[in-house]
Amino acid sequence: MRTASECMAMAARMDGYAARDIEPRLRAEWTIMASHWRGLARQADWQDRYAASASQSRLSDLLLPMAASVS
Amino acid sequence: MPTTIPAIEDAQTLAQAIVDTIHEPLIVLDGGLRVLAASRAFYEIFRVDSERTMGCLLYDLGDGQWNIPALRLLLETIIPEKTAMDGFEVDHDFPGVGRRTMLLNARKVIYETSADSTILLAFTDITARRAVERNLADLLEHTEELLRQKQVLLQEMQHRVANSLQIIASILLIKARAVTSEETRLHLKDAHQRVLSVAEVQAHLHASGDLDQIEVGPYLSKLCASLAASMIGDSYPIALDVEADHGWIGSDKAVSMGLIVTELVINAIKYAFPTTRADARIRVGFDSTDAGWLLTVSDNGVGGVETAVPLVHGGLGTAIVEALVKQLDARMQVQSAEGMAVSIRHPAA
Repeated sequence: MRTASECMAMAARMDGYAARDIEPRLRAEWTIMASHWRGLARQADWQDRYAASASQSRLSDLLLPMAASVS
Repeated sequence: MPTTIPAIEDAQTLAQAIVDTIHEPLIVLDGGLRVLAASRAFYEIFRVDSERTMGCLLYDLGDGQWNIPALRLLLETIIPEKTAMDGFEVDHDFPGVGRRTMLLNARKVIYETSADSTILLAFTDITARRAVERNLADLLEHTEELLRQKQVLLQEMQHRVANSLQIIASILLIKARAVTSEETRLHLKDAHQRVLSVAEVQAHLHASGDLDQIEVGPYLSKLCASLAASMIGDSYPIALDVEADHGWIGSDKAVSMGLIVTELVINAIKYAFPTTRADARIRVGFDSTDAGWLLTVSDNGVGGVETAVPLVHGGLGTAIVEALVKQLDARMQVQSAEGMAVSIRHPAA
């Protein structure tokens, strides 16, 4: 699994492909992929924070980031 | 009978008319590679005139624009040996015209009554065609890259979904340990096990890649191993066996089947063996024939009313199983005599 920053790097890479491709359909596909990677970055962020909180038994720290990521 | 050409002059006029009629550039060279005739298209496309073309050495034309190594190879080496060459590709930057890709077709004409020879050289400008081909190749390459990247994204999503399920399962387990009510603890543990089973099903389907069909035996074995590891303790041993033939089912149906097996196995573990028995056994069977497939989950437990209660009177597990059986378009049969046996039969499509 990738970390949040690695997911953001993938999103930037997809944006680069979108900028490179002239063909509209391909460009749209790359843009959607970039969007998915940004979503995964947010998911990775809270999941990694959860893992860190759980390992320190501070579950209360988990709930707020989880709620924020859902909204 | 075709009309014969009466005079040499007329034949030359006819030949020039043919050359001029051709849309593509064409030149006629003598044996020494000097221009005998050129088509109108040749003059127009390469922006030269007849006065500075006729009688000139091909390589001197247009300030030496035809002094191309590839063309020299064609005319001085290939044509003398083979007398004809089609589709010889030349890529060259022509002064005043720009970079062009040309296909050259050449024919050496040898006469019976003379030692002289003539070379016909025709050009086809394929610059635009090559550009389209390059664009198509780029498009194909980018599309393949897109598919590869989609696969990477899909895998990452599946990892994250699995991780989310593990987190949900761990929260349920933490809660199960924290509550004081034994009934609530059991419900939370059931929920924990269900989430783990969903995670196991998801992981197995993920590992199966893009396959539309998965082999049932290994799938159920892995699922049951996971159930046994989390639900059957060393102090309370129950053998959980899977006996499946080499049948395959669609991955969409596999999800439902996995969840059904999870519910029925949990039910058997909870109710079939109220007291410890050395020979306690739960069997998960799968048999496929041309008529369809049969899934059975049976045990050698107490059977009768005690085991059947959850399935007869309903509970969350029963509701889940009934819904999944309906989703599969299958039929369920419960037998509770010596132990308990639940059969789910699915007709062939």
